[in-house]
Amino acid sequence: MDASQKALTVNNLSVIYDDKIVLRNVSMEVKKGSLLAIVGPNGAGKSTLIKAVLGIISSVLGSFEVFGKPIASMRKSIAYMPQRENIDWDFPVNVLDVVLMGTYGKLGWFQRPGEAERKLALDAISKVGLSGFHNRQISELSGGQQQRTFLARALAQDAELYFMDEPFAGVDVATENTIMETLQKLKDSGKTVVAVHHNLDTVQKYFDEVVILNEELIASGKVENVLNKENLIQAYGKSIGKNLNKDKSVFGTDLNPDGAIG
Amino acid sequence: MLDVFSYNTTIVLVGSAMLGFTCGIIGACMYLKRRPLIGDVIAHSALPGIVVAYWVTESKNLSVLLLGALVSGLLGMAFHTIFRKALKIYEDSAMSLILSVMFGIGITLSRHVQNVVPNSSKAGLDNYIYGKAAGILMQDVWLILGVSLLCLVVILPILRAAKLMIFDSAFAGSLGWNVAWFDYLLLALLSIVVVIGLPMVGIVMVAAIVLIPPAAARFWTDKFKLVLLGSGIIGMVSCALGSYVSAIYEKTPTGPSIIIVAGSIFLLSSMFAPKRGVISLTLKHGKKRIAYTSLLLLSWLEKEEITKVELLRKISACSTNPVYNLLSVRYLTWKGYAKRDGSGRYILTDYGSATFKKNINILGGIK
Repeated sequence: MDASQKALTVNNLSVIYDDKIVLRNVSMEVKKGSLLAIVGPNGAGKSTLIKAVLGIISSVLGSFEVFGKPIASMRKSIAYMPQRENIDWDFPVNVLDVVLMGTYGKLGWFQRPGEAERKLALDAISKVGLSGFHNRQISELSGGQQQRTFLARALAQDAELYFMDEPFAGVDVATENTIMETLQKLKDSGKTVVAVHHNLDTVQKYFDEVVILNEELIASGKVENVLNKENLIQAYGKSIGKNLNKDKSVFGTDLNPDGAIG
Repeated sequence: MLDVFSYNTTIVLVGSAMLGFTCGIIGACMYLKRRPLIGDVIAHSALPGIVVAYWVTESKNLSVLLLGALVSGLLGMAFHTIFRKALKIYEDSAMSLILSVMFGIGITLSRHVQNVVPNSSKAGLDNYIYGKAAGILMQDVWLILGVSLLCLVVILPILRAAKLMIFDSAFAGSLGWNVAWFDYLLLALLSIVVVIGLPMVGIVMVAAIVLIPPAAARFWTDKFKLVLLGSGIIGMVSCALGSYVSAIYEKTPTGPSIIIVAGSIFLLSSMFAPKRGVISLTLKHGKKRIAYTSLLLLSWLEKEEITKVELLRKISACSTNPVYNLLSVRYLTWKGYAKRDGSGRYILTDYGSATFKKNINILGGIK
């Protein structure tokens, strides 16, 4: 792959938590303009991979580059949508406050968000279908609206590379559609998205590239080439193989004879 | 009685107010981080440090004693982290364990020192337990005032960044911000304000002056900045008013007066705050609850005439709050849905019957 076409390069990444190795020697590349899903069983290190790249976790071995440059110099081209579970949703802020936080990266610790930032934030809010909700207290949001708020904040970061941690987790159908459309629009405008995803049924529907992970990298590449029985059994264990045999439509599509989903 | 308008008293009040304001602001940050009780660990752990500092130097100099307090307060906090992370003890268990053991050590040491060091009973070590504004020297007030101001100067410019780091530390980390550094800064500021609060508010109660103001302020507003400002003001009013009261009535220790003022403000806030206060919430939900319960009553009256006692007996099987049940029965006659006949039975009026029929469609049928 031509270096200018790479949004993210990860070389020999390992992550250690206390006495446990969470990720072992993961190397991967993400093409510019792709929608990539990271899948794998619980505890496979999917979120950890993202957090390690972003520098949220520091006990990290290995190296990574964003658009061919060290991450420290590329912060302003990166957006992040964390999981909403670890958030105190009774915190005294409204939707606009949260989305404005997306502009803090460019503003730094001391500069106040101005009219331009406010416009950017309101625009992001309307893009995720929350127009009119900008003054709403976050404690009064439904789960789907919370997720849209976080999506809007990522959009307000106005980045080139988007990291999303379980964007589709626990949302209603309307929100799922909004997120899907947003991902598609990002792709259409040449942005790159790397998302942790838990639902194998929808990988093919939403993404074009996939990374299968279980502590180590099992496989990576185009969804249709990689998301097959062999790789999934390797990542999830034998039990998923039984499901695949019993119900061929377990991933929403039939498995072709060699096990690839097509 | 003290001359309340003297220069010295004014300075004490100003110092106290400044301390309260700073405690309120820093306390609000810890409160919104959901770790407000760590201040109690620092305060109680500070006592051994005060005593040892006095024992070693035999000096009553406040900065020396408070330096000792800071060192042992930080030590207590370090123990807390070790207990929680390495020994996997629950956060609140680790807190009570450390604060009581450190306090126990402090008290024992202080009795020992008062036995071995001549004249030490006059050093006022006991003043640190409940706080005594009147016992504070003028130069000490300047110390308290200066340090409070310094803490404010550090925290105020970074409040916007602090909002993000408290709300969503992972996101802040993704911006390349050093969240761990901010956490240490916040803990350091908390330790400092708690320690300089010791002579005035006392070990036992100083943690409350970082906890009560934000809890009270949170009732009044949903804005981050206003929670902090409100917390600062409540802290300021509590400390100033508490010190004033304790200055007038000489035998009153300052800490308890301050906490009683703060506690009263909390109580009033929890009752009367417009959106989150108990009264407002009760009015908001109570009205609906009574309206719904009265519909249930109407459905029974539709079938038969029932006495009040019988109505209350039936409704208590559906709803356990007797006050609402009684109010709901009252609501029937008050709204004109039902009348009582001579024998005390409730009879549905035409209006009540119409209301019931209208609402049963909306609610999808009440049985």
